[in-house]
Amino acid sequence: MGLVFPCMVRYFQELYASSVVISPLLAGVDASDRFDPVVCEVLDLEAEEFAALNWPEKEVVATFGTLPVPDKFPKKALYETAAATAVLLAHERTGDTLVDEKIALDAFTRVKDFAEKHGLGILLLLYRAVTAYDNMNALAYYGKIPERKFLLGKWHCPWIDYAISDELLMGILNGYYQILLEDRMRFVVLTEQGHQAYQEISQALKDAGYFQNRASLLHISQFNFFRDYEQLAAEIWPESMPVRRRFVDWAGIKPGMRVLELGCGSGPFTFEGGLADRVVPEGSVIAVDPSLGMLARAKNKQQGGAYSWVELKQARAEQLPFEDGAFDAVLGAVFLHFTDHQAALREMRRVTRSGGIVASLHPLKYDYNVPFFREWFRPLFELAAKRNVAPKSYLMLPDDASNAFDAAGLIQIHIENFDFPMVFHDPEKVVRHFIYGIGLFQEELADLPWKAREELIETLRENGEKICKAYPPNDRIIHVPNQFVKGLVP
Amino acid sequence: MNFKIERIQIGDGLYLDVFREALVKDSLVINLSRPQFRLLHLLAQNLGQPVTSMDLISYVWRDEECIDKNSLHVCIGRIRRILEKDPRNPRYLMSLRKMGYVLFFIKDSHDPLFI
Repeated sequence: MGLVFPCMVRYFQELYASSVVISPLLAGVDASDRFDPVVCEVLDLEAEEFAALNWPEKEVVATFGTLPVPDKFPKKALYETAAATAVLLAHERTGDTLVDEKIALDAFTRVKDFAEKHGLGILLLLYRAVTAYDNMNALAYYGKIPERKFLLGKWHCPWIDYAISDELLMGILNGYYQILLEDRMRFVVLTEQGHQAYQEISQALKDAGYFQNRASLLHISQFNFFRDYEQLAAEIWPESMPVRRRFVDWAGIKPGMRVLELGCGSGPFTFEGGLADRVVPEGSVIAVDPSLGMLARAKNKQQGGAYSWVELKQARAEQLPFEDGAFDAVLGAVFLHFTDHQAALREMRRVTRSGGIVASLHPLKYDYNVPFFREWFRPLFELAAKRNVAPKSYLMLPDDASNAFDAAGLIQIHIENFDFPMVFHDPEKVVRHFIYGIGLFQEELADLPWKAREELIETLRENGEKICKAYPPNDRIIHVPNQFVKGLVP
Repeated sequence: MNFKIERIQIGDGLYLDVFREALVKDSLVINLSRPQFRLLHLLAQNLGQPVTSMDLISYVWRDEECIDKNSLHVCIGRIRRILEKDPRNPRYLMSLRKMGYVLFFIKDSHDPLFI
């Protein structure tokens, strides 16, 4: 069976729904050890046991037919999938990557439940598809990789615990890879057939929403570690706080309202932006964010001001854990462009009462074609050019949000457009803010093998140093269009 | 005849005999496999200081480019079974996130239950 298999898209959907991940990019994971050996041992035993019990002849035949399958492949695939899922689970539960035995076992249960429901064979096919993509992507990027570096994933997945010798062997047997001798060293390269399989699997993963899912997980996990996000944002967007305060008025938030705030982050809109102060007395604010790291920082502010009427909760805008019509107003500042905005607006409308307010403050797509910016981010523009597309931006066009408000069934939609400056004065901070915070050029970066991605981010920092010397401060400003949008629930 | 004896004390009454590649506790010799000895040797030379996984792998196996992390984890696990009272909750051979591994001086090694 090829890398793409029947009903693959559906099984990927099931995989996302079970919150099981295979080889994701997550913040806080690099070449250093992911867990203590105690945790590795626990996962290893579980994987060994489960693989031994769930890999009968008929499952092997149904999954791989006549293809040779290394005997430890199921165990290693289960181990690596559970290990990746454990890091994600730690991010979800603690906003950090510390995995203890309990988290590891819970992650293994997620993987086990998936494999019991759909068959271990399906999990292995998904695993093979994703890891083959990662391996082929690295080979396509580098051309050739020394075999030993390839086996340990040094250039593209340095966090793995098991060498990928089974993947290499299976790939060679399938005709995707071959070993090339050069100066008495062995290199892994893609064959012609491998190049073709790479195109096919890339397209299939794209159709299955794999890259989008991966980018969103990376983004949330990065926020967990982004301890000074707010401070950076304040430096790079000096007017962001006054704009938030104005947005509270513009949206029509009044004392006594029950308000839901989405994407609250560390609470700059909730607290300093004046949302919580506006609803007193008798009103209340529930502020949600998917990143626990961010929520922990918001909690610090809450205790400082004794805001007993503010509740902080972990939730994603696309899936709100509240009843229909529970709020008088649902809004958020600088969050909508991070979400699947159509799904988010449907949810926002659902949880708002009839006659209630739904509103958003968000930046819009802007023109990157400013000399200093092009020069600074040149490597990314070059990558985008190679792919023959303009750099993807998650920012919306001026009509996107109002159209989505309309599509969600909201009425009396109002818009206000305005500009505010973004200043580029500190190379380190700018790069951190763009890459880890707002996730600009995410698609270009996500396509790169791990090592190339790290190197590119370093190059951006160095470029920034040069640009800040070469251009006076006033030439390093971009005026970014922003927008308030509000509507009412009929 | 002179015997070369080189010892690295890693606990009360507990030392590494570098010549014999063994661990000695109250004169009792506990033999170690070569990777186990080397791993403990490098950690003992840096007592109280973290050593990265990469440094450990290249010191223990002399060639970091063909050993995966699983091999290191297995080796650490085996040493913990020798050194630690409760290997699942280690107190002396610890992993430090993003920094590697560290061995601390073993204080209660005279405990009869121990080793």
